[in-house]
Amino acid sequence: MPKRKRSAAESTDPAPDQAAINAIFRANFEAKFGAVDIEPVVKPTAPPKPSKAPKSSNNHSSDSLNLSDEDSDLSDSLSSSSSSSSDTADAVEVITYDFSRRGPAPTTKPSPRTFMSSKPPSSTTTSTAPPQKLSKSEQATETALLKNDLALKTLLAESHLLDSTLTHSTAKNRHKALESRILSLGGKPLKKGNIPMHIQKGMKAKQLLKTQKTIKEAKENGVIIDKESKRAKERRKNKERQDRRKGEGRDAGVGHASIGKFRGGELRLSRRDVAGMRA
Amino acid sequence: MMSSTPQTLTFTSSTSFRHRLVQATLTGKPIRITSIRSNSLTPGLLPHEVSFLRLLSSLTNGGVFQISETGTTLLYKPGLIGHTPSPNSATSSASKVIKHVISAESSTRGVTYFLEPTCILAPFSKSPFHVVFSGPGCVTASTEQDYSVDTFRTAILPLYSHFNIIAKLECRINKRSCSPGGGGEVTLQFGHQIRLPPTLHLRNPGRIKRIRGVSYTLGVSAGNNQRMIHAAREVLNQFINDIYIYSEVVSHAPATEGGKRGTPGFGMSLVATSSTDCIYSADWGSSTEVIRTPEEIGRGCALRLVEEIKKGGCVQRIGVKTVLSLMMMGSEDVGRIVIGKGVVEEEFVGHLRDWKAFGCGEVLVKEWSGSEGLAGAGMGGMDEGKLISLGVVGKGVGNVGRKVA
Repeated sequence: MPKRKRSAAESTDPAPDQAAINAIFRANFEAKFGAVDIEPVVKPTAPPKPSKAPKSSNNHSSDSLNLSDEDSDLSDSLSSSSSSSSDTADAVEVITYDFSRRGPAPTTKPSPRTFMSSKPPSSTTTSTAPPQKLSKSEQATETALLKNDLALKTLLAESHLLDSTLTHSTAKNRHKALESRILSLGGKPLKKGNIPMHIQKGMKAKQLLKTQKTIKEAKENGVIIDKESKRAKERRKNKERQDRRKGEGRDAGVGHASIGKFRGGELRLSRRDVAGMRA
Repeated sequence: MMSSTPQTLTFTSSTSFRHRLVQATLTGKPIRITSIRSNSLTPGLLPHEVSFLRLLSSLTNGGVFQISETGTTLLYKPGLIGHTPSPNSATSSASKVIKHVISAESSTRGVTYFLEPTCILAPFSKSPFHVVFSGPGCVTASTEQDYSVDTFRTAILPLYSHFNIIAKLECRINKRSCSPGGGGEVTLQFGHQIRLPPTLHLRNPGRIKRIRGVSYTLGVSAGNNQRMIHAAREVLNQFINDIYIYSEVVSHAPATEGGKRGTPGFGMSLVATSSTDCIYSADWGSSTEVIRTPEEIGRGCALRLVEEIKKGGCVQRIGVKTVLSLMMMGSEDVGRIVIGKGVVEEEFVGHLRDWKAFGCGEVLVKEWSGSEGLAGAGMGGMDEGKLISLGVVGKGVGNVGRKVA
């Protein structure tokens, strides 16, 4: 989140020409978004001095050059006094943002590799500006805000599970919520539903059939598709070998024992097998 | 006869010669260009244009080029894009490299004259492109008509990332050179071939976030770099603080044929990147005809960059043809880009008319009044009335040579 800071200079001491600038901004804003009938609150900076008013009235006749300046001063004090009366009723706080403020100059020289290599410069590389230091109280609020954001996000994501019509199955919903959270964190889904074994087998077989078909068609049409990775190939070969073993019944124990080696009428268990059974 | 061969399109004059040939190659339609400089004192094709035809014939397979005796008429029947090495060349790896030697007569144009159309063809090729440009006419610095190779690499090649063409792009300057004289060497690798470029929507120009640049000296004092950079920074420092201009020093210009030293010179290339990755660039260099000081070059280059940014829009002048060509070849969907009114020049309108002649889509031009509902809108209404929106319907021709996997 970009941190917007209130300009210290503007909020504390609105200069007389600041009022004129504000008027321009206001006119511009109203032209775009329609009229606004809220009087902006100007903070009473200096209490209107009682001695000032008679002095200005005295000067009116004599000093015409200073007239405009005094006028704006007068209107300024007027508006501040009027606003202070309505301050208690509905305080509208006007916050001014200072857009002209720029960040500090990048301290580290960008590495020439990002720009001067023979590759087109990538758009993602940015000169890293050091993060702005926050005060302790600001940091605390920042963490609190972040926490709230996170809570709101999870609530929004799981709100459909909290539907009043579905309250009868709370445990299921809780599991669903948990699963959605795991998924959002990049985990794997808990389970893929209860599919009967024979259907699962059919699905696997169909999947295999499909891949084989695409490979075959690609070969016939002379299209080169991506090679099977070395690991995937190894795994597939391994599986095939095991399947063959199972099918033939060679070396497999009585009733296809899943442990040890059946050779010469005896089931031989290695040290590891025994340890595995103990564990 | 008409049904068997596609109808030949006829164009006149030598304007936008390169792009017409590229369009013909991309769409696969034969063209005939007549009255090429028929009233000129040097009628017919110029050396650099002939050189471009040679490059095109090596980049494609089975193309037919017929030039009339006077050189004022050209018939071009395009072949398939993609280079097949000749069978009698020995090793396969070496023969995949296309070596394009540019003759000394065509050194008035920079090597980007050849690089730009090569890159437009490259995504639609059957095989990756690996082209080495060399010879006495190979000029890497900016010339009066062409931008420098630095600008090409930093401002034109990134445009392809809008179309998700990012992998295996490389443009290396092996030897720098100035016009005239040349003797430079540039390697271009374009290994990202696609089936169909995706539809592009570029509507938010954003605000400038950084400026980078290269200033180069060739056979002159390296101090000139500092002078150029200083002058450019004098202009640019008041706008933004993330500026970095690299300097490249080559102590001797590459030797020409007779063993003589090539033309010395210096120049600068500046690139401004916006928050939405839109790119504006400027380029200027020394010339043998006019004397310019390094300060003039630096300041002039910076001012040109500022001028280019002022024109606004998402695509600058030198990149707009590349973007439009890729959009025209894209899928049959409406893509939109927002460009500044200053970008639309006579040449650009001619380019669009050529696309129409080739049977590709028309362009819908609309006034662009600010960014509708786009967050972080550009200049906050400052550029109102300066921008137009181009709606381009792709033709879905895509890459003919590439098989569907």
